[in-house]
Amino acid sequence: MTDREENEVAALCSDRRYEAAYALLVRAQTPPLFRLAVRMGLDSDDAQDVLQDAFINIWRALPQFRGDAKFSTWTYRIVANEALAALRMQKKRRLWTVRASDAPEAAATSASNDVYFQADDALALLHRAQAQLPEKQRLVFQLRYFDELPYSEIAAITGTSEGGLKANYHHAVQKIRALVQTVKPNPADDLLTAENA
Amino acid sequence: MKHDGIHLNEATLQLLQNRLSAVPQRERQRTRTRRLVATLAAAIVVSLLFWTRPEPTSSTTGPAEEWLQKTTATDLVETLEHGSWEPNPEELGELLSDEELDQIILVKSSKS
Repeated sequence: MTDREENEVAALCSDRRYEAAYALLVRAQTPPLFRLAVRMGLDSDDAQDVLQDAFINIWRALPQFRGDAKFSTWTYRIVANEALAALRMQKKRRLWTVRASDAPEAAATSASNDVYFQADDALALLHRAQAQLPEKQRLVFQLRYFDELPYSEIAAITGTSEGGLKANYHHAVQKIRALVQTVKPNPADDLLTAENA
Repeated sequence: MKHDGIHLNEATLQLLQNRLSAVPQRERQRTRTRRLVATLAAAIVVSLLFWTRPEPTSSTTGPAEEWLQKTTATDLVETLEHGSWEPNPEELGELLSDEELDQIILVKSSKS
């Protein structure tokens, strides 16, 4: 979401034109939020449901939004929370059907026809490794590595301190590196070295 | 934002945006429906309370009211003009004789 769009939404909200502000949020934020939900391990249908619930909350809370954070950060936070809740529900359901240890694998292969993956081997490997991380680490890795958000913004989204986030991200990178190296000794190092610095 | 190799189907994204854009309208309808249901429920409760309210208990004026309802206006006037004012010894009790009255007066004066 660009700064211009942020300002536009803020202006519409201060004019109490919430419906127009909401429409702008939907237009600007649906693609990145849908991607976030998918990359957190949800399939297309679940990601759409998560976004639907999240946007209902956004619509209801929009008049009370005090502007403590950017609109994009706020919407990221709502979707991240909804996605984490959905993943927890899935995990509970999976306990009744397959072994819990299968869950990360299931998350890694969850993309359906609506979402397709087209990348080189190294990136595919990185995605598989990311899917094996615990949900919160997966989210932090996603926001930092792929979305390239600053730690301050990730802290606002996840409700964690910046120090805690850095530690979380460091652990995530270490785990991914270890997981990738068991399969292929070199390529992920190239992807992660610059980020971990 | 880094390239992550994930591609989202444009048609799905468009459908999703349409669905999300309809949220305010659906929420307004839901609010209206909720308000309507609440109003109806309140009306039903009030009606139930009204129809199931306890009947007034029979008071001492019950037979009198019943008699008034049964009696026509002409009968009522006739009753008032004639029979009802004749003293009935059974209802009023026996009248005291003069001797009995004297005795009472005597007792009172002796006490004082």
